[in-house]
Amino acid sequence: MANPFRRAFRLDRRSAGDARSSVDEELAFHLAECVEELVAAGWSQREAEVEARRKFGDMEATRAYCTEVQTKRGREERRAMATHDSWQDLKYALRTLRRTPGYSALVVVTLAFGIAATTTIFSAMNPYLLRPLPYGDPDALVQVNQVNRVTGWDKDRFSYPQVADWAARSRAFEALGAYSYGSANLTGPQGPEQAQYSRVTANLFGEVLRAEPFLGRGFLPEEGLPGAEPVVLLGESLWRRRYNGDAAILGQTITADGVQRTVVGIMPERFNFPFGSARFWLPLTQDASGSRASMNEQIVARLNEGWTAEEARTELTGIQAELRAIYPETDGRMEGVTVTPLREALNFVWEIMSVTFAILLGAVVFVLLIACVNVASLTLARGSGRRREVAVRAAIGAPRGRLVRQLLTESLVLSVVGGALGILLSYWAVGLISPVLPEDLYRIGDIELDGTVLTFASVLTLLTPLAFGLFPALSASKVGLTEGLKEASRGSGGLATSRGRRLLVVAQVAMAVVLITGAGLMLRSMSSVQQIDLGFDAEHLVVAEIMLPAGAYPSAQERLDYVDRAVAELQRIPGVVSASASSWLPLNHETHTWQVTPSSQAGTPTEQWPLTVVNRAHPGYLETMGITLLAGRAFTALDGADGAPVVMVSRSLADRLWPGEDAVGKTLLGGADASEPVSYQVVGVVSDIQFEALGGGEIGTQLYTPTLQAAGRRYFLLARTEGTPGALIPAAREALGVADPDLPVSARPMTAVVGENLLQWSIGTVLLGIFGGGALLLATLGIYGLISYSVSQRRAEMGVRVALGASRNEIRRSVLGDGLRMTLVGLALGLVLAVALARLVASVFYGVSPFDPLTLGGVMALFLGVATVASLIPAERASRADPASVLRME
Amino acid sequence: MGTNQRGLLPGTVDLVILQTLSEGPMHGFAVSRSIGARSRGVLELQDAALYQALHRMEKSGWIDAEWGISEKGKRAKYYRLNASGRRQLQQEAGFWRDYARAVAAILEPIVESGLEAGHQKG
Repeated sequence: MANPFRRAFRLDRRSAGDARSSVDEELAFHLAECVEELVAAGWSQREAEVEARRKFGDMEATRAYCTEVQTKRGREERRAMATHDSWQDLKYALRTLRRTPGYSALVVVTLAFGIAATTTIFSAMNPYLLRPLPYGDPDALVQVNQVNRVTGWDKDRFSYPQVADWAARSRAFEALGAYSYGSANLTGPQGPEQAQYSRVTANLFGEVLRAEPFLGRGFLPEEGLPGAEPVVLLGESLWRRRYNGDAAILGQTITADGVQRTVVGIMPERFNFPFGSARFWLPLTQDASGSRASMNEQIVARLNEGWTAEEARTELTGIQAELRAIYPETDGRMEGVTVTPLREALNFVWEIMSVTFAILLGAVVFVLLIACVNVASLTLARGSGRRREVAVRAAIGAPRGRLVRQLLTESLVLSVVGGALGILLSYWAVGLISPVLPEDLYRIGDIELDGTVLTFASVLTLLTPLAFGLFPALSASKVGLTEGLKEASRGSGGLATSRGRRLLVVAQVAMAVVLITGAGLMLRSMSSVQQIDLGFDAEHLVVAEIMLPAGAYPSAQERLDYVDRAVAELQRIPGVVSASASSWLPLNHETHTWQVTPSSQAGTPTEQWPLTVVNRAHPGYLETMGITLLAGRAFTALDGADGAPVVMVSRSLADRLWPGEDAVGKTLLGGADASEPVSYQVVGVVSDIQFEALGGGEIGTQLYTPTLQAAGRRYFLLARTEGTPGALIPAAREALGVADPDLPVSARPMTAVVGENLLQWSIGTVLLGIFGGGALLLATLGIYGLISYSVSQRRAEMGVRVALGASRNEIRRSVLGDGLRMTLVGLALGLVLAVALARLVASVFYGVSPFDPLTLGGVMALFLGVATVASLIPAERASRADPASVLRME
Repeated sequence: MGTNQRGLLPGTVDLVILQTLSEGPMHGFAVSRSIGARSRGVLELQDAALYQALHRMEKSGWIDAEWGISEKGKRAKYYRLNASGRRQLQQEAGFWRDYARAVAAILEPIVESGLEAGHQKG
């Protein structure tokens, strides 16, 4: 028998159909041989066929059995083949990439930066915008607020009697609770400490938020009633730090603002309500017969199944209307209800933050795209250098799909290494940014690379090869055999490749332009904000916040004595020019407002009385803050409780109340509750200051009353120094320690308070600047790389042109023109896109238009300059082309 | 089919096929005829059982299959014993030799007493 294997062709088991026909063919062959044998022995053809089948036995069962076996084997073989192919691809990719370490390293580093930037921004957004709230079924949770008719504020609060009425009348909610928050002094053997807390209704944690303490129990309904035993729930972090994580604290008492409170439970670390720096919780006194006018509570509620926030709002608006009719003096001041998802409501800066993160995420996606474009461009260039290799592989029979797969495997290897490196970089970057972000902003958990972020980064890593590798792979695999083999010796890229690279460079420039323009607009916004005249001098000023506990300071006189003592101690510090105190601080995100009117117009309806920010000022306030006294006098020690009620007004308030007249000596009516106004005499007119958040709008009006005529519990102590405020802080702490050693003090420079107002712009400027700078660098490299490459490809042409008498300048100009043309196209596209995007998010910019000529002009100059430099180097090289040597090379 | 023809005992089908293929690659029909010829018609292996066994052993990895051209120039599926099949054959053959020897030792007295005479005709 001749060796049949020499002539063998491949056994086909590609599909189930192939398996069946193969079995059929085999059995048919057998029958045919049998019949032939029988016919030779003298049987008739027909009888032989019947006999062959009879002798065979059960034909159908055999056919079925064999087909099944072959189908199964086919499946296994195909699987094994695929694994084998992938493994081959991988080994081949690693070998090829090792041969071009420069390309590999460049791609890995570029991708690593792109993925790191995207992952870092994503991990920063995660706790604010994405991670689920640490409560049960959080999507049904909303915060309810009223709209204040006078101020127009749509997040106004409730008094407990109102909360009780709304809860009783509403059907929209499964559970409705309320909270307020404040700051208290913890005292005891651990030393004094100021901590923020929240007061909550007994049902808030268990029924509304569905969050339970991990030790002990939540509040009982009777603990919210007036006169109940004082209790407290501790947050895990406070419990671990201050009470050493000792479970024995349950049932013992701690002292908060001088009141002994029994610890009933510990809330877990990840629980966070209503903001991260709330360290403990007290029962809100649920006194339905309390004052209806003191509206300090926020409502948080869980929607009943089947109710939407909008339906709830409609129902509540009806309830509000009923109550307005019953209580016109209090409820009548509110008209309108807002129902906000809890995540948005608890984040004070939701709007700014969501826009800022959208911009930053957009920016990093641009960065990643630019990185991909850059890598695509490199890969394309490399592909054109590999035409010979590809052509050879195609010639020996590799199908195109296989070639594309092979080239994509190389991209995948690079992106996986780049992604891993990017994630490592991101760990480091996250460590850098997380301390910059303010802690008391509502967020869930830390800024870290958790499972969600890692999944995001991995998906990104696996997607990038498609973004940067597919186009070059398709382009490289599309190679005509003869053409590829012939052309390969010169490694020419071909027309299609260089057009592709040109497009990529234009895209890169356009995206870099968008980022740099964004950074420029942010920078201009920040400088506009910084140029806002604060009306006071924030430099050389230290501010310390203190809270006087009711226990240690029961009477108003004791509190005022403390303030006097503290101010005197501060003044005694060498270098301190002046010291004073006030009840509120400008730019600190809280305002106290009054409605006021000239006494001569007492008849006008209170609703029409102008609203003004009020602050209580200690003697020496004006000079310490650097506010100018324009007319009359400042407060003195004589403006005490037994003196006549006096006020100072800011210039714009004076102009509003008494236009064209001298305000000093006039009287006005006003108070926190306009229905019970008090008469005050104006003793001084002072310059306006920026009291509300920077960039938030118009400068408002201010009115000052003397601290000595209305003692509060919370004060900001102020000290102006000749030196740096940082140096004064330890001395200030020491001085305040002399005034009361048990009082916790938090002191910082006033410039830090101002800086917090600039945070959104400074973060925006820094991050967009970094991303934009990186993008500019990549785009520059892109221009440079492409121009150098095309110069090297056109050496022969240049040589010929020089030989034909073209001057070196002409050559230089032609190359330079090439680079600038691409840049101009990218620049034009980028600027249009940048302006369009900037208009979309105009709310984040301040005092600068998206068409800002300085920014746009600067960007143009920057890119043209950079492109000129990037093209000039290869242009110079081209102009030095030596015709003789070039022609010889051909 | 005469009385002297017996179907193969269970467990011997694989052995017989493997032994046949140890002589060289063949297609199914050739295997069938080779077994018939070597046992001088005593051992009859039904074709249905033969083909099922071939495919089963191909799946077990004892024999390889490939399409080739028969002596008469037709496309036929050829089977070839591979290394693992050869090992399997040695193991099976060793077992059968031991088994046959044991059975023969037990039958020895019967053979001597001439009770086997009837069979000697064939």
